Amino acid sequence: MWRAIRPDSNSVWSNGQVLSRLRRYYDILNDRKPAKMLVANRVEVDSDLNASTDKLWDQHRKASGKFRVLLREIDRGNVDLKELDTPKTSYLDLKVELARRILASCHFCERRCGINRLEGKHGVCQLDAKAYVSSAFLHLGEEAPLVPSGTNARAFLWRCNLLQHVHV
Amino acid sequence: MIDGVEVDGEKLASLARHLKREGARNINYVGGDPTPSAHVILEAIRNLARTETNITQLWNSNFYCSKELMNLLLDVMDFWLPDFKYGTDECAERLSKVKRYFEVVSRNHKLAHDETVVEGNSGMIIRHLVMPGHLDCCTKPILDWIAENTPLALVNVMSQYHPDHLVPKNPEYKDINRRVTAKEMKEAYEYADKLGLLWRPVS
Ligand code: SF4
Repeated sequence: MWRAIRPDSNSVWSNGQVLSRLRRYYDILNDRKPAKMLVANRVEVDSDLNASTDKLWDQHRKASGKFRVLLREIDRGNVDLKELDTPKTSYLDLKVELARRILASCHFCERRCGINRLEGKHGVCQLDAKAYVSSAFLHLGEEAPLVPSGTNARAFLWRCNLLQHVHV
Repeated sequence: MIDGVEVDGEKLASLARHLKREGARNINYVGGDPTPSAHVILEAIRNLARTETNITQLWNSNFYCSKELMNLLLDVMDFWLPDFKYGTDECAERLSKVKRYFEVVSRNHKLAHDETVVEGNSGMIIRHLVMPGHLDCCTKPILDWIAENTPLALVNVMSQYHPDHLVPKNPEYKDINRRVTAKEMKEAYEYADKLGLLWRPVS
């Protein structure tokens, strides 16, 4: 069905330049490589998530280094993800905790409102800590490589409803 | 105002798994960019990882996020789909009411490109919406910047701009109160070609 609507979603992959630049993405779509989050979930960090924010960022830098080494080893076929244990506290846990702290004096974006959205306060974006999604739907108007081809679609897009102006 | 469903990380993750089974690949946030909802998205991602769900994570954003958030996203996003809209801070401030646009947005493009795209573990398609009369201040400087700083990114040069309902009412937006002409698009495409950008397969 996808093919009928957007034939270019398959043919784009026969473009060698596109394929070489989007290779890893293509391999995840075909389940030949793991999405990065699965690798990040295997990277262990110091379990004390109550440490100071500076300490946590320090941990984050170290974890990023470990993550990149592990990702390379997995991609080269030297390490099998499935054989790795999941640690008690992972790089993803650390990210979730740091995100919560950013939210508490919000600087997710460069408006840097600095307010505590966990207490229900709103910044310029008018959002507190809650998130809302509109009814999710099949969307075909994307760039050809992002359109799922066949049944093994494994891409997930975190997106906005783009407003033309007034908003960025 | 809000016409969506409230979600936490767990709900978002189960929605993602459900959508994946249905063949979809997209969650739309009510209220604009995913940036302010990053905490919930990261929780959802952790949940998806814990259930060993192999789904590519793409970040489709205006890229006006802080450096701190970029750091949190760098090792989890498999694909970047940022918008690069304005070539000058003046245009950004007048049309989108944000400050330091170019510095912030170019920094984030550069970070994503150098930290992940160069190493071949992320893909990147930069979307640039051509605006009427903004070729010299926005389109060309942005394409120049991309050619020089993020040469491995693909570029979607988009023509679908149309003035929304607020534009005709505000004299401040007079310059963008029309569609882009075919001649302007031709100029943009030719410029992208001249720079050797890979835009055709994704535009
Ligand atoms: S606009 Fe929203 S996301 Fe950005 S800093 Fe302010 S509260 Fe945070």
